[in-house]
Amino acid sequence: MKHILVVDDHKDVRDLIALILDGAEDYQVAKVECGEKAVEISKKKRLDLVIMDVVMPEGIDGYSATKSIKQHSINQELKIIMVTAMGHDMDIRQGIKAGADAYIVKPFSPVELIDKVDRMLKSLE
Amino acid sequence: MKTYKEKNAGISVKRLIQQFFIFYIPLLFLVGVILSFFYYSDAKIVKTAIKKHQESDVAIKVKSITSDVKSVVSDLNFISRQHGLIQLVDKDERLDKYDLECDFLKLAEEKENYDQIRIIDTDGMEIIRVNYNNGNPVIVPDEKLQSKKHRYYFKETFALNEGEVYISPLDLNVENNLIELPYKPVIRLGTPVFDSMGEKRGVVVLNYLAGKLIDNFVALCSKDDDVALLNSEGYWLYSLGENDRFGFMFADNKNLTFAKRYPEAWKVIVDSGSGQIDNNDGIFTFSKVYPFRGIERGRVGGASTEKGVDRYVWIVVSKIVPNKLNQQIAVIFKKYIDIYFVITIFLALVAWMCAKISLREKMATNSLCRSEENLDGIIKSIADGIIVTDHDNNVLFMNPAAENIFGVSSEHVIGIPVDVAIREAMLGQRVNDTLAKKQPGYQFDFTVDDPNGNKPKIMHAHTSVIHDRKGRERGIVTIINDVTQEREAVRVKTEFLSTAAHELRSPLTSIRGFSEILLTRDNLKPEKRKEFLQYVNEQSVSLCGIINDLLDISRIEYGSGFSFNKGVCDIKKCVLDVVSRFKNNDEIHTFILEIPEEKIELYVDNDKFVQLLNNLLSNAVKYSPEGGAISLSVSRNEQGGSFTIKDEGLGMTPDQLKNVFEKFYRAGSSSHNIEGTGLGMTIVKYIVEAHDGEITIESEPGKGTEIVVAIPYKPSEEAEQEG
Repeated sequence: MKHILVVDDHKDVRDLIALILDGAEDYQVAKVECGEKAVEISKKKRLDLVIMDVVMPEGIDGYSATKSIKQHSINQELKIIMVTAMGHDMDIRQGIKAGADAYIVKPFSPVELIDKVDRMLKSLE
Repeated sequence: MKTYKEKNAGISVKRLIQQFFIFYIPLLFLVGVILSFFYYSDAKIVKTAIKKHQESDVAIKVKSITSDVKSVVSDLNFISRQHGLIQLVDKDERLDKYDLECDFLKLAEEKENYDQIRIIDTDGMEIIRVNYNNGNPVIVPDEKLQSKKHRYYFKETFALNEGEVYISPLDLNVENNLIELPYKPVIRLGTPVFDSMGEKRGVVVLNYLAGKLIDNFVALCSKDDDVALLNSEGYWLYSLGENDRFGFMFADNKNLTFAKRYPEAWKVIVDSGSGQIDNNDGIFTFSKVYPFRGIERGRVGGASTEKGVDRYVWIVVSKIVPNKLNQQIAVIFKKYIDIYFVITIFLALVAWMCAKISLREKMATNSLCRSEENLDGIIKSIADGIIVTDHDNNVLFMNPAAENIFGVSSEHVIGIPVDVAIREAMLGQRVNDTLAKKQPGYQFDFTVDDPNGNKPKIMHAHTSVIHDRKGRERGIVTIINDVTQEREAVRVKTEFLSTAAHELRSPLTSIRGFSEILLTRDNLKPEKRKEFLQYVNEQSVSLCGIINDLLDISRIEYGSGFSFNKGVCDIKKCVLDVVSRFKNNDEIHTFILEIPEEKIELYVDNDKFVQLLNNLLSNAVKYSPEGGAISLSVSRNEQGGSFTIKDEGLGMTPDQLKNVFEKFYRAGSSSHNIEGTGLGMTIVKYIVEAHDGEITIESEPGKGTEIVVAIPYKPSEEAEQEG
């Protein structure tokens, strides 16, 4: 059982990602609406993958959250996929620099997301 | 080649003539002065030549007179010592008187000088007399001989000692007390005769025909020469005017003297042997003649002279009247006037050409100055900064705009390397590179600190190489303009597009995701399927809302703006309509409406006012997710109307409140799952401001938010237009 945390300020996107992943593999999906909560969770609970939104109006943004999770997570092998509407090369580079392992640009296809998540988690095994 | 008209285009005739005279008059004056100098020296030379000529003329005449007189004296001496004559006075019987008379006759014939040759005895009786008889000499017979006892020449001569000579003044011959006609000027020369025993026995008297002497004198004169021969008293012995001659001989003409006519000249003549006098009467050249100075042992006597040959004086005077001199000078003057005339014509041509050239040059200079001034004015007025640097990157020129940009004064930076002068590394480097790399030019941005302490300004620079006519590189011209606003506009636009794209991607993610799930998963329960479709529908509605809001914002921010269709509008009706729509679609909120009875008319755009109310009420609804009262109170005042919307919802922190009008800002939306574009309040603020209104928000987390919008009856602009 893999633990996945979805971080996005839009409820529908959170629900969608959870739905896509629920139906696919043996994943346990949790959802939070801001970066701070994600960082807190990663410190307490073993997470395998975080799907992180970049632009969130409340609190820290996705880059800071990614950096913080990578530093403080109890699972140092944890993978982070950035899911964002910011699709510029510059944004992607910034995400990778912050510690993201993969990058998905909104609007994405569920198949693409599942594919990326599967590959990412399989690389951990 | 230019035509004459083109060359002289723009030169006015008046100015040309003025310029002509500016050149011509000094030239005329200069040439006049030079020619005057030559004229005066020429005139002086002529005058001097005339004087010299006169001097030599007078000298010749003096010589002629002296020479004529000399032979007379020798003749006299010869006769007085002649042997025959001695015999005669000795009363020697061997003497044949006739022989002696024949000798005298021969002498008179040969010499042609002697009117009479006489021997007078001690009693004054003529013993022998030979008359020249105008070229036919005759011996006067004894019976016709006369006594000359009482004549002055006999008395004077008889009183003399041996070897002494009496010379009478030159006068006219008088016969029988009448002046002989035609006038016969004579000088009587006499000397006593002594016998062999040394006894004085009589006198020899020669009547010398001075007319011949005068004729010889006159022969040396040309027709017009005004030459005179004067005696020591200033009477004319010879003069051009016949009536002036021998004035002393005529009772009526005693006053006809040179001394009386030319007293000034006479004064000088009396005191000098020779010389020249230049006065108003003319130029007088004179020389005294001592005709008998050659007589070594003689004494001279005469009516008017004392004894002594030096007292026997004549004066040769040559006179040039002013007119005659002036005539000669006038010839020179005319010559110079002719030369001057020719030169003036030539000078006129020269002056005309000079005037034209000078005016053309002046005009060219003026036009150059004007165009330089214009160019200078243009360059100084250009709002873009201009820096010109030379081959070594030293600043050659900096216009006022560039001075402002860099906060330096051009007078302090000219001649200094550009990177030192303006301390702008990028600019200095690029200017260096432009020449070094031989690039035609660079375009680049750089920032400069704002002297007022505002945000740094963004400058755009464009360097270009300056080439001279031969294509050689001479330096760099760098044009700098302030692009802060343009760059800011681009930045805002890019940011807006980026944010807009971001906002569109979120609902699209749901639409795409859920629709794909619906399409790919057949085993979905009907309620799930409905739920997902609900998501798709909601997100597409949201998408529409975002797009509409984005378009509004885009219009607001990029100039086209909303087009406000303002008019007098009953606010009460609008409020009632909007609130009733909200009431009908909402079950968890209580809407409390406080509104006056009467109409509230404001000068607003009805649709925009409705949009404003909608945005505010929908925010009140969205941010009171738990329900509660939403009150809307409308009131009238003197300025216009105001309405207050109050909810009991989530409220905002001070930070959230600060960002409430920012685009796409949605306070607490993530934590409370509140939908929206984040553009509603931005639009509200814009609509309020467009009506010259004010919006104030008070909010406290957990207690709700109160928004007051005050709108004047008429915004100032419209009031002014109508007023």
